[in-house]
Amino acid sequence: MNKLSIILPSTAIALGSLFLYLGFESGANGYVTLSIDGAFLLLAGLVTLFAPKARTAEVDSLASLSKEVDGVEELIPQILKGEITARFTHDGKIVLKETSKTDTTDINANLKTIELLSPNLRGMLTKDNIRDNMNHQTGEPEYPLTKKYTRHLIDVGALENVRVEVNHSKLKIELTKPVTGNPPLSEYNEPKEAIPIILSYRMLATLISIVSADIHSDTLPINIRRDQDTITISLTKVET
Amino acid sequence: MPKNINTLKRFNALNYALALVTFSGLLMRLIAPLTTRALPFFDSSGYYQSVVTMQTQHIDPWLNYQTRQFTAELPMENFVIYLLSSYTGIDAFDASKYLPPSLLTLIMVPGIALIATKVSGRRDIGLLAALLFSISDVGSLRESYPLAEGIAVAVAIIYVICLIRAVESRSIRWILLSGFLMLGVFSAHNLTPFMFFMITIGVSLFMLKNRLIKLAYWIATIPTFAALFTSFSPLHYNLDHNPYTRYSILLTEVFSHERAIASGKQFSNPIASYTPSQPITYFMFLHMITVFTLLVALPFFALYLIRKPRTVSVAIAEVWLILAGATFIVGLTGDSLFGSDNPFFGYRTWIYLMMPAAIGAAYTLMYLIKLPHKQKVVLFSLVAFVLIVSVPATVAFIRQINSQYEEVNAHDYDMSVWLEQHVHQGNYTVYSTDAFYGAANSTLISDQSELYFFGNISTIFSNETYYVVLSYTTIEYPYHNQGLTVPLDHFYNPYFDRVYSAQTDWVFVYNPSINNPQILGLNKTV
Repeated sequence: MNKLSIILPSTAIALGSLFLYLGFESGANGYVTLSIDGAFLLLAGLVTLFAPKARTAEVDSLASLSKEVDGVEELIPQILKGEITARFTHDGKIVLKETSKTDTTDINANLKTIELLSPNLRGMLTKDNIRDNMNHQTGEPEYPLTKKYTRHLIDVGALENVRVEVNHSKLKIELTKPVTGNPPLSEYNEPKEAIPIILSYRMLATLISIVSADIHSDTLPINIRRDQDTITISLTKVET
Repeated sequence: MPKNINTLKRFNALNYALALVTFSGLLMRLIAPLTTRALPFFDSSGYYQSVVTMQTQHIDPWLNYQTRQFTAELPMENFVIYLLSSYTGIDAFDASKYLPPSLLTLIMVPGIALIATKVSGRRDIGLLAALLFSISDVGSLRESYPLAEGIAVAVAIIYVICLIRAVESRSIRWILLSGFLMLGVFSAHNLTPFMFFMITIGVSLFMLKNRLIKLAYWIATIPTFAALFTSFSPLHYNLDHNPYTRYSILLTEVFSHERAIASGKQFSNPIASYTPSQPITYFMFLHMITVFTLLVALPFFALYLIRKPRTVSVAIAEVWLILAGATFIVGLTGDSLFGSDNPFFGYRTWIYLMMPAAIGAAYTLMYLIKLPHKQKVVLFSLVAFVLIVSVPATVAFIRQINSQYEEVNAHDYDMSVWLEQHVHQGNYTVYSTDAFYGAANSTLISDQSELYFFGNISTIFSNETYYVVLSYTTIEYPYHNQGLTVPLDHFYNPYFDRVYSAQTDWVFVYNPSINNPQILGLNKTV
């Protein structure tokens, strides 16, 4: 629980009570609109503070699914644009190769590992990862984790659909109609500007981790681009 | 090759179709002003008179609104008509006659097309929704003839589009813009804001339920600012007393049955007061398009009650449909119990319901496209048949209702001519006594005597004489339900002389020099 989730509902409860009081105190000819708004603010504040948290795990906010890691917000855009080489491992970690120390030849010397997934999501990953992800009736591969995770995104209206396409060593993740920030995605003209904001970097990185876990393989991001209202993330599989 | 060939290409068939649909909607809404003599005569709130007062006296209705110099519900309509009339030279009468229906059509039909396109993701479905709305009778009738609504609902629909945009993009700029538009809705009408205020609250709670807390609170700022604006501005004098008290009176009456029992009425035909002499099947025929739209919208409504709305626009359309539908049903129940006497009559709430219903209906019809070819052809011809047949039926209904009012209002019109000839003061037209009140107050009587207003009766002081004007529209629907009862008995006394009498309008003369204590007491008993 961060500071904002205390400040917002307390402000709402304080304002709501004040408005309700003003409405009631002024009597029958009083501030009816204000008191209705007060009742609503009070309700909203109480719901935010006291709503059972357990139930919200089903449709939780995106933030709680990926961990707060310092410095990640600046790092991930660079990873996605291919400026930093990073490997998304099949067990949900991001392994960085620090490019600043180029003189070293030891590949394992400068590795940095980021664990992005929340315990909640990690639990989901370890539970489902052992399963065979093949649909035996159709022979098509299925991605249960990706399906589960993107359902959250679709539920909260962050995007409309996610499609994963595996082709030998190439991997493509397509996001249909992702909700993007300010300026909206559709206003970008150049593909390289296709940087989703609301559909945050953290969330994109989480999605890549999940897909990597689903296909049981480490991945390297190559490219991210936008075409009309889809975002396509291209990756290569790295056999472990 | 000319440079603009690309823009011409982009203006494709669907845009032409939308322009055509908007034009047909405009024709539908212009039937009433074109075929009746003086449309704003049922302008019970006196917008026209207020504009005349503004033009002659240069009084700002915003600041003088509680001083009873202006009777108009809320000032925005006055300002819009005043500005239009002042800057274009169009007569205030014509402006108030043609502006609301034109504005209603030109903003609402494309607006509905836009929202339905967002909801369904298909432009042709958006067009279908716009068609369903544009050939309906919403905005064409006297009862739903929106004087204030014509401006308020037009602002409100832009507000909804901005709200959808704000929630989709999670952008503060759009939320601020929607907040600004919400203030516009609040300064335009007294019932419309209530609906959209509640929609905003519903959307905010929906976001909260989905744990989009920050966004929910941003949206919550819109109704909060609107509420503060309403409470601590001149709007308070009208807004805080009107829609909410109407709702509470209606709910109390519906649940207590007291008035129904007292009046000897039980649940009855809710539309009896609108079609006094016709069987209900004929009424259903006349309302084919609205009945069809509502029925077809039901699956959309039911689907998203069970299932979580897929997108923001679907969620907003669903919240809108639920609130407007609930108000409509409560309104119809009120009509059923009390006829059109009820304070929140159902027919008016149809305006608010028709917009989301058209969107929902078009969304349902989208599923027809996925059917096998044969069934698709059959069902589409059925829909086309309903749409084609409904147009003459709706036109017939509009003409019929308007002619009923025309009959009553023709007498008002004649009386106003008589008054102009005999009272010789001011340049005014009496369309209803209530409308007259504003003019009488501000332009004819300089000394604000307590005598000038007997309940809901207008009095003109001129030539050392008090002229008391009484009209059928004042005695009957819809005023007597608002506690504005005319004490008819008082006219049967020697101090009143009837100097003008038409079938529905009367002018009495009262001489105050007699100094009758009965009259002074009369004012207090009203």
